[in-house]
Amino acid sequence: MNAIEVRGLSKTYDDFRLDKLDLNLPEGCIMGLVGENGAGKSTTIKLIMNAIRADAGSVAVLGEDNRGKAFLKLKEDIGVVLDEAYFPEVLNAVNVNLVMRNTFMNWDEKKYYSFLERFSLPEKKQFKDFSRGMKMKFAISVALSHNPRLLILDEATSGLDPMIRDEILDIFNDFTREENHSVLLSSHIVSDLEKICDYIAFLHKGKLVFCEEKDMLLEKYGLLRLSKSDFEAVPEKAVMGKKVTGYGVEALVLRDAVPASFPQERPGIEDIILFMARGENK
Amino acid sequence: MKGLLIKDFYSTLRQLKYFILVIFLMTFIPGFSMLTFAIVYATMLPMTAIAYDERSKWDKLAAMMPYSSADITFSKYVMGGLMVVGVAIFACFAQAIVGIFTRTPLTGMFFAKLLLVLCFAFIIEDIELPLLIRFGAEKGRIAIVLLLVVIGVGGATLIESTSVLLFQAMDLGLLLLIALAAAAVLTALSVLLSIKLYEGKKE
Repeated sequence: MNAIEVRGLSKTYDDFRLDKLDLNLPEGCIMGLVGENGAGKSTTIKLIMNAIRADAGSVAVLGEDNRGKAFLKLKEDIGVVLDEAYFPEVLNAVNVNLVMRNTFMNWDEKKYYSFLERFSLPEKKQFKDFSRGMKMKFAISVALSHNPRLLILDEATSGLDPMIRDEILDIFNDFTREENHSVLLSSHIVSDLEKICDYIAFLHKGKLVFCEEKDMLLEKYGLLRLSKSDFEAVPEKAVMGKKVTGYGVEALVLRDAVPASFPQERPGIEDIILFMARGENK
Repeated sequence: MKGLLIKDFYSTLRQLKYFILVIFLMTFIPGFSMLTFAIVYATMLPMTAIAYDERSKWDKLAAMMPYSSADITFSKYVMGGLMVVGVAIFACFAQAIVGIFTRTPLTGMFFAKLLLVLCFAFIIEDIELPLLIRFGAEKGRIAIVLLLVVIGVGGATLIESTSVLLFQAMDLGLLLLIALAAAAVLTALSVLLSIKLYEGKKE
């Protein structure tokens, strides 16, 4: 089963259009949704959670149409962390426990306090006095404490230092040890996604450029660094993106479409994304 | 919805404890005018709760939780209702205590007038909440003040000119009945309108 199934999802604003998005997040997997600022990552997440209305298309989450009445109840099984924590600033962790206990039927108070302890978060300090790192760790604690089957995270690691990011990524990895647990993680920090994701979906200017298994992506593409004259011998069909500099040509190519005589390097996800986004291939 | 109410009570009580204290102290002042002010002031508390929600952008998070638009909207009415009824009940005790010292026990007329003020308070909330939900706390507040001035001036002119005789002649029981019916109908309409306006924000 797919944890998330998106079909032909579109949304138009005055200055932006999310165009016919199709993607599947298989159950038990972590998918990274990557794209530049304004690519449509947050819009996609809002549409998946039915927080805004789609112009066209459909979304099924954990097998349930997100426009149906049952979806509201299904939100019990979805933990969401947004780019900011958005809790009322005068509340403290003890207050939030009481609010959430009366919001989620699955609320696990013991788990919540164990997360607070694990993250060294104070129980009585008002939320307004938390640092950004503390706020995000707190939001993650809340999202995980109602025993969700699906975690959706919108830029949850942005603006955090590498140590905290690493700690948080470990938690997401732990979360998917249960085979029916899935994660959709949007970020523009590609290194984070590369570390933990099984699938990468790349959104660029409101369009899905690709949605593939990470290992397949890394297998599929190669990186060439050649002089301009040598590059002319590379089949045009194989070139997915290139960068011409004074020293030569750097290009992302389809590994199997290039003769073995050309020495190829293994690209990172960031290379693949940058070359695809640059769109200088043709 | 209980979670939403707890959140609103925590937010408002933490930030407005002195304002709320003043509201309760006002109920001890003998006579009815201060008591009316206290109840009318209590109608402003949902406005504050909405302003705090806006400041923390709580609605973004609430949209991800198992709350419907109806839950989120209706919780503000419930909060407002609990506040004004709470102040009214407290006022009964406060006035009863004051009455012991001033030798003016509570009469049936006191309770009838209190009920009338409560209906008025509910009607104020029925007007203010859709405005706040549509325009937000900042612009909504201006709209409410303008509207209350228009209603106040218009109502006073009407009463002074034509209706005063009608009100004087009207039985208090009948007046209460009309006020209760008006508050109930307006509340129902106002809740429906607010839910529709809140849904409209999802576009």
